[in-house]
Amino acid sequence: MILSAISRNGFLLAAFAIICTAAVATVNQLTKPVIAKQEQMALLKTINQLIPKDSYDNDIFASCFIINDDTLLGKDRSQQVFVAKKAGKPVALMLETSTFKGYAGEIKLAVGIFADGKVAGVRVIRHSETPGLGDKIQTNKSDWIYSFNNKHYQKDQSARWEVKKNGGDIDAFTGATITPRAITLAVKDTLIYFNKNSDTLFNHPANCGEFE
Amino acid sequence: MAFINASSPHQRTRRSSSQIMVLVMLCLIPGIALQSYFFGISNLLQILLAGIVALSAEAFILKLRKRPIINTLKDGSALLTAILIAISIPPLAPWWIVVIGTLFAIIFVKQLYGGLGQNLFNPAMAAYVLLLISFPVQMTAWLPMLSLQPFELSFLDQLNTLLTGQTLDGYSVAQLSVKIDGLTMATPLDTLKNSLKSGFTSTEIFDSASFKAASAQAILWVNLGFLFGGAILLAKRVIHWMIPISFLLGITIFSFIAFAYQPDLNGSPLFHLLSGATMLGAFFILTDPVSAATTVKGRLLYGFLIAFIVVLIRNVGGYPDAIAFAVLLGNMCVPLIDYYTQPKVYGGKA
Amino acid sequence: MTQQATPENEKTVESKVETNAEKNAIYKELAWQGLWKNNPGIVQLLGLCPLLAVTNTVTNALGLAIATLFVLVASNTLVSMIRHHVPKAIRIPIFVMIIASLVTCVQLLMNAFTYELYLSLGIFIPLIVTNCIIIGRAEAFASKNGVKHAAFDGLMMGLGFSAVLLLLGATREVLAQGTLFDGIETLLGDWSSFLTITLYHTETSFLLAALPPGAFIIMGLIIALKNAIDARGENE
Repeated sequence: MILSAISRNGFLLAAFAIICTAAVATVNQLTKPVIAKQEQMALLKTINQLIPKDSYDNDIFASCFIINDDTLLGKDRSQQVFVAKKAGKPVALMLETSTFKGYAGEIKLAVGIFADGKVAGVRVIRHSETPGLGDKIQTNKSDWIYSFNNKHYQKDQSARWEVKKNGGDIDAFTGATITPRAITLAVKDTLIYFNKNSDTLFNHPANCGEFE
Repeated sequence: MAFINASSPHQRTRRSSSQIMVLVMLCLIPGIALQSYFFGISNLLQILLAGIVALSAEAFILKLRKRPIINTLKDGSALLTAILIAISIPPLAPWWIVVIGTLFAIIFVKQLYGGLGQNLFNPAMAAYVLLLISFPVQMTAWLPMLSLQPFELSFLDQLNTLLTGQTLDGYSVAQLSVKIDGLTMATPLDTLKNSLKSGFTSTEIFDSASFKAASAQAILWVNLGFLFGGAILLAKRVIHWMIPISFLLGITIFSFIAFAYQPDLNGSPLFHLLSGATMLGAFFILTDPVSAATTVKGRLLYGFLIAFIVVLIRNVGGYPDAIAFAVLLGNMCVPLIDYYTQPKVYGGKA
Repeated sequence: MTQQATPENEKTVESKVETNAEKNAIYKELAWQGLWKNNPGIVQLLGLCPLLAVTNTVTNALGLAIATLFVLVASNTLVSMIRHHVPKAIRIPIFVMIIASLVTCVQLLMNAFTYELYLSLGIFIPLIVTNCIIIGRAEAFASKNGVKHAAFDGLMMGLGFSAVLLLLGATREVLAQGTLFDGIETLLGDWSSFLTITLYHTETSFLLAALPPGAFIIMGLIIALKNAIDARGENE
């Protein structure tokens, strides 16, 4: 009696498990390509905010590769780089970078740099700065992040890449200096990295995997 | 809250609560006077505004609750709360800051919990935290002391700034806080925190011009003013010695440990004792009889606990000062502390 | 035979009329329970974690509301359908399996078709699995009642929960940002962006409302309001 009850229950559970798994698997199969496309679109949206869409013609996802630089691009962080080219000639790069000099933890940035070393644009990918103070680095809160556009880095004028409070050129926004300073220094470091490696960066073999 | 055996307030009631409140307010005067002297008369305007709002809000809620209005207002507790809020916020903060804070303190933190004697949290500190996390820009805009300011700020200037956010000549607080050389002014605790983040050591910071410009002297004097008033409260036996003493001792010990461990990254014990709201907190905020612990051991523990949190947040946390956060966290622990420090349970002789 | 048949027919018709009235009464009661008297959000206080965490804008609240509503109706229906075939001993694991699969499907669908909303709701979509309302209704109602009633109960409980989510989301969004339906296009598509209303514009928003403590305080006020309305109703 008990045995038959157990086996009956076991069969029932197994049957339900199979049905449920089959349902989830079906939905997964159906949505998989759509999700992959969505993720790609989201990434492309960020890239196109920094690098104008019509300025390049290569498959920007296929160009992706990974770099590390503990001092310039964030300690123990692997960063993705995307290369934009037109007719085989380098146009711009989008590098990810991380800084820990903000008020609260890591700030992850995407920095677009034109082939001539000018900043194409900077966007914050994620951060946990104080709401109302440090979050003015988001484009939907303030225009501050656009102030880097078209700036470039020269070694002998390195001191200008600082917030005004510390004698540099960059305006901090009301109420906060730490967050803007962290971003300023991170962008500066990214530009230094770019200047150091500009010959290899545009011809680096892609190694990000499937589509990323 | 039936599980709190020692219900508060637990004073031996030689004085009525309104007499106590009046004494506490009188003892705040030296500190407030110094603060107004250094940072401007707008401090008093904030107190006036907060007082009016607090009394009206309390009267309104009491009417809704059908409780006696005049007698309750006379106890002075709403007024005291208002004063504490007004002196905690930057003197030139816009008028709606103090109004929102006071309304929140009286209506939400005090009356919704049942009025005087029932509130779990210190109303003034809860309001301060609400304002700080909601309006960080306005709440951190402390101007340097008057004598260091590039502009002469008259009484009318201050009044106008409070009401419209601009002086008569059209300067905003943000503009006022930036001196001609571009140095943003802040309190000493702010300056320490920001400069440490920028990679300076604390010794360098204490010697730097921007630190001296941060009104360190003025804040020190204000702290001494509150210490003086607190000493009178102690002498008059309005407050118990346990909380202020254990709190100040705790600040000294914990900040000394941090200072000894990393002198380059932490302020000295003396710096911690005489900056921020340490003295105001020790004598006037932690000692709030309603929201503090009530047993002898409990009070010692309460003071230590808050001191620990203050030093922790000041040294490693995100905010420069931490009295308000620490007091609220301490308030939360009060039922637990009181429960486990009941003399009867452990048979202590206290 | 025919003579006998007539009264019998009449009887069935009569009882049918009665059951119709009864049926209506049952549906009415279910609606009353789910929407107001036993509202999962403000009376049973179930599912508070997502309720408080994602209601910083109406759009987020609406997204979670739709997801929860769908899972609730579907799980109630499925549980009710299988209620005679599942032995008591293993009913809970089976309910959990059904709910978990439903939530996973919803999660995948949202990831595919409302990508940005999916990102902003984050962990709270998979957390619908642990929302006590769903297993609670499955166990307390759906496993004991017919499919139609169970589905209707799920719908009403879901709507009650959604109403609280939306009220909380709207209050917080107005206080914190001065807008309503900000970012609605991430949920409904680009055509809906006209729904976004800017009520007022301010540099210094009331940040507390957007933060978790504000959610608790406003939630408390909503509960107080409901209790006040009930108390007034009783007095009259």
